[in-house]
Amino acid sequence: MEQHINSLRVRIALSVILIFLPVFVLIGLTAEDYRRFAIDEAQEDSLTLARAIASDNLQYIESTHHLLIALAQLPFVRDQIGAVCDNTLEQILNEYEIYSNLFVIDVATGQLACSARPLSEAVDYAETDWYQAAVHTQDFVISEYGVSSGTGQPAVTMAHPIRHEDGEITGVVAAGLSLRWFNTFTRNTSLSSETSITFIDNNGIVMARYPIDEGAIGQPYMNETVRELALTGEEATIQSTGPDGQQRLYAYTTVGPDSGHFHVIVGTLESVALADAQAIAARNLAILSGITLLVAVLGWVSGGLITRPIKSLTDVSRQIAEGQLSSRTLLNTPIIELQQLVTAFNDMAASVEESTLQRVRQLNEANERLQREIEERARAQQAAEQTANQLVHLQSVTSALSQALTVEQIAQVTVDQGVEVLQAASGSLHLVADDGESFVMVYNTPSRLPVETQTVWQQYPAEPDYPAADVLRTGEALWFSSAEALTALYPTMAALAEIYPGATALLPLQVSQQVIGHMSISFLRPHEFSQQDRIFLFALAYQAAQAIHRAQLSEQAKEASAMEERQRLARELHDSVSQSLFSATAIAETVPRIWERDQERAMQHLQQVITLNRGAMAEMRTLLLELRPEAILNSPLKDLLTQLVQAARARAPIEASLVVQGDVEPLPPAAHMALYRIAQESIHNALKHSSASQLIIELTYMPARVRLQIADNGQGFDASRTHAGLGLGSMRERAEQIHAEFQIISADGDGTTVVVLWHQPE
Amino acid sequence: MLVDNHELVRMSLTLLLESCEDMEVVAEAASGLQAVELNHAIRPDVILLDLLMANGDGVTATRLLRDQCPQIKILILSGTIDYSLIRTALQAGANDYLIKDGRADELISAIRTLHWQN
Repeated sequence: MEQHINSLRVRIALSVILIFLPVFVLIGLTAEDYRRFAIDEAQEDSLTLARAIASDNLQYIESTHHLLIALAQLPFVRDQIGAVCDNTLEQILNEYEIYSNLFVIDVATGQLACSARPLSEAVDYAETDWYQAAVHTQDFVISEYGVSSGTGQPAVTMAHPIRHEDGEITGVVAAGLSLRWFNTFTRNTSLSSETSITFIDNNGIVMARYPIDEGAIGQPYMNETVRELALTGEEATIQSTGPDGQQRLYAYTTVGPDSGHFHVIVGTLESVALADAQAIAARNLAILSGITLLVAVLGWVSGGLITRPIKSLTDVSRQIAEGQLSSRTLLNTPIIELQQLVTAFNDMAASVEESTLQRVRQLNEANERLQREIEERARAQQAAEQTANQLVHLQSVTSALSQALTVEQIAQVTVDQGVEVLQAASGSLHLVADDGESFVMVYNTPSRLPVETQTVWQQYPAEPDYPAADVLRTGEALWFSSAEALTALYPTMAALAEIYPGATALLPLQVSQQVIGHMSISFLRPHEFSQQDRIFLFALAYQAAQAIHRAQLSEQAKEASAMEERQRLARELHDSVSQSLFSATAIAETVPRIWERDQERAMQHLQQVITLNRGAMAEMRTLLLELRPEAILNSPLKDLLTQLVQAARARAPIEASLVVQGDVEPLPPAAHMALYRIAQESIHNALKHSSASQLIIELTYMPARVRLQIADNGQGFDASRTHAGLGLGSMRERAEQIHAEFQIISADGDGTTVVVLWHQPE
Repeated sequence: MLVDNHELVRMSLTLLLESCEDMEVVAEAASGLQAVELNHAIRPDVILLDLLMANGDGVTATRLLRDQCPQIKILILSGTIDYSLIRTALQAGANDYLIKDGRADELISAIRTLHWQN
């Protein structure tokens, strides 16, 4: 329903009706005005009619008054001369149809004196109201409604007294006014049958009525409201409901002077009065309705002209919305604007179709791009995960390498990781041999190669037949995704292809631009080395090269250190043991030469030989301790110092002694070692530089403290100045390491005393 | 003259050489430089010279002594068996060399031989 109301056509039709609605209202108002006007006019007409009737009647009354005055002047009337009076009255009566009778009443008897029409019976008028009023007022009177006693017809009697010459009232002349005159009156009046004219007397009794209704005559006027208003003697109009229940318009007026003699009431059916107005209103309404209907129909039809294209556009729009992008409306409409709309719509649809298709194409392209990006992302993600995994492995390699001490361990760690991460079949690491012209295998994974083939690869020449030679020459890695790729460039490798039918990578091990070897990774199947693979293997090879380099350097350093140590020991041997032994031998050689001459001196020499040999042995033990430093910690400090003192005696002609005091107890290793080294260095200095003849070493154990003092009586030195080569710095440093107090007391020519005071930590 | 940085060696050699009646240790030097100085003053017949010494090694001392005194007899007495060093010393002007192995007869004989050479 709502859909119908909302449709354009219905709305146009409804709009038309709405537009005409005020006109309808106007017509209604106009019709009401017409009605009121018609009522007013009808009432006016009724009143005019009532007035006209009243006026006519008044005229009749006046005429009758004049006639009665004239008759009262007639002698035979005045004198009531029977026959002449009757005849005269009869003649006059014949002239006036409106009178039912003319007659004279004798005041003396109250009886009829003469009459135009003979009465069938004698009537006594003395009791009648109008007679008494006429005699009493001595003036013209009109009776109320009544039935003529003379004629037996309803009539109104008008009377005038007859005054004698002496002024005495002798009789009353009266005229019975037949109510039939009314018929005469109405006959000349074209009244509609719906209009009623009623005469009532002052008692409200209907005297006459048009249309003639005999039954109403003599009865009180039916409409009591109107009757009461009419009897007030005024004239007016009123709308009231008639006795038959129909709405009527009434006009009433009074006939005669003062309160009047009687009253005229004109009643009209309102419907009749309004008939014209209603007819006009109905006609107007009909015309307007017709026009409205016509316009509504035209609106409906023309709405159709608009809605049909709109519907077509709607349908096509819906089709386009459902995806039929090529839908167009083929509609032709005579309405230019709509035709323009249709054309514009088709243009728009074409544009939409094109842009949609373009959009779809763009969307497809974007989708493809997105798909590609997703795949790339996935690949990148995979690569990142792979990289992360490889990083983890690299980290573990780094960690393992930090533990790896030897070149072989390093090679094993890196090659194994490379094989594991790339899920390769095997790997190996070769280093360039010292001759620079061959490769020596350091490590290879447990191999599937036959033993004889493995032996070949233990060491092989860096010749152009082998890819490793190119790696050595160029410093570039070689990547072979399959055995075919390898043998295509290196035909001599074809023998290997049977055992390793897959991919192979060779990476240089470079240190400072110099290739020190190569790492190889081999697969059972072809394998494309991704960027991540390559980066990982490069990183692995780099780490391996650096670690190997470090290990080699460390090895060299160790060797250098060992060499240095050996040289030091050699120097020591040269400076001490060998000199002591040479001296001892030389002195011993002297003994036989002088034995004959001087045996006592010879014995002294022998004693010197013994001392020198003991010293040499002590020095030898000291040097042996240096070859096995842990033995220093295992030996009591007292023994170590004793050894040093003995060795000192062998080194120089010096009086060396050791004094140990207090309760000897083992010291912590650090303190033990530090005190020994300080003593060793101090004695060495004394022997080498002081030219002292006496050397006293004191080791004093006190509660929670140990004091070491080395004092000589040599040349001394200025302790306030630095002296390179005396090892003073290193002695001080050793003392600080064990939180000991360290002091050197010396002056030129005044000997040297070194004191170390060590405190037991709390 | 004895030239050796080890006092013990000088002492023992003195004992040994002075046990021979035809020999006298006229001077002892602890370094090459000291040897050159003493040589200038004392002019010994034969110089026993150690090679490995601090403060003036044997080779340098040989060259200086030879420059100083072309007739001087220089006998290298060294613990080293580094023949390249010994060769260098001989080229620098040393007359002969002996290893410090404590064979007294050989040493005494070598000194006498040198002394009586022209």
